[in-house]
Amino acid sequence: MIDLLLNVAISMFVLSIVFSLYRMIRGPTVPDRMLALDVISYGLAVVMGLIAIVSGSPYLIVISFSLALWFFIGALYVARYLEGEEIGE
Amino acid sequence: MVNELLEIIGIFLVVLGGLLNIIGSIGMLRFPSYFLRIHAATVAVIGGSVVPLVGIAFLSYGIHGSEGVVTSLGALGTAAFIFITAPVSSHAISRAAARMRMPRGPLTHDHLEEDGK
Amino acid sequence: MMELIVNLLLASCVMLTAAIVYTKDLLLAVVLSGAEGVMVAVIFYLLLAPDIALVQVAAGVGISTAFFIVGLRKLRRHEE
Repeated sequence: MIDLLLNVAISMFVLSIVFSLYRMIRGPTVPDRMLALDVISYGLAVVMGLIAIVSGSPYLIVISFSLALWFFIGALYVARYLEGEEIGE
Repeated sequence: MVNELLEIIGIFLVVLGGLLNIIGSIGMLRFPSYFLRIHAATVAVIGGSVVPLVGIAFLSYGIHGSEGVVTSLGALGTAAFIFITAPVSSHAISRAAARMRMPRGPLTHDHLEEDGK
Repeated sequence: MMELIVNLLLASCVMLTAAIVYTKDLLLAVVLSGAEGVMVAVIFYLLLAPDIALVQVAAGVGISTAFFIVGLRKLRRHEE
């Protein structure tokens, strides 16, 4: 039962990633695409956590945290460029 | 007994998060303007990523017992990190979009234009 | 299940690379390459190479986006 529901949950996240990917390819401006990339990368972080539960290894959750951290830094750089301010160092 | 209760709570939170993520993605697909899509993206990030990560923390401790404590604590840390930093990055990008004078979609009243900024 | 997700991520990598090649907006190309870095990192993760996925996340999503944008401030944003 738990395994079936885990597979259903992974399928739901993959379906929503497909929807956001359409907005990512076709969104008219750059902020639209950054918003779609936001949804895609946090959804993939959750998918990585679910697969870490299924496989049972204790070291796989680190990559989920790392993805959230580095995507935050990249989003801040893109926002600074769009706003036209000077980027430190 | 406690482990089954933790598994039921965890799988409920994970499936609820999957439903919220699909709802937010459909909103991002259908809404006509950027400043409306921020609303759908907030549903998809806070409801669809923080809630399932808390569910993953319960579910890992429920299934694997004391071997799943590392995954459980890591999922809780990731949930807290996303809960703090996702509004920061979303606000930064939408502030830049407001400075760029992007089209604001169907409006009834525009407070941003009244402020002159 | 895993093969389906890996195939879908590979197809999205092909679409994103085509979009990077045909666009004229350089900032858009940087954002799309960041998205492709996320996809490639998840592919490495699903093929059971988590250490390489850790390096790919750091290099492909964070550092390359930051360096390209710091370089892009010295150039024009639109090509031609």
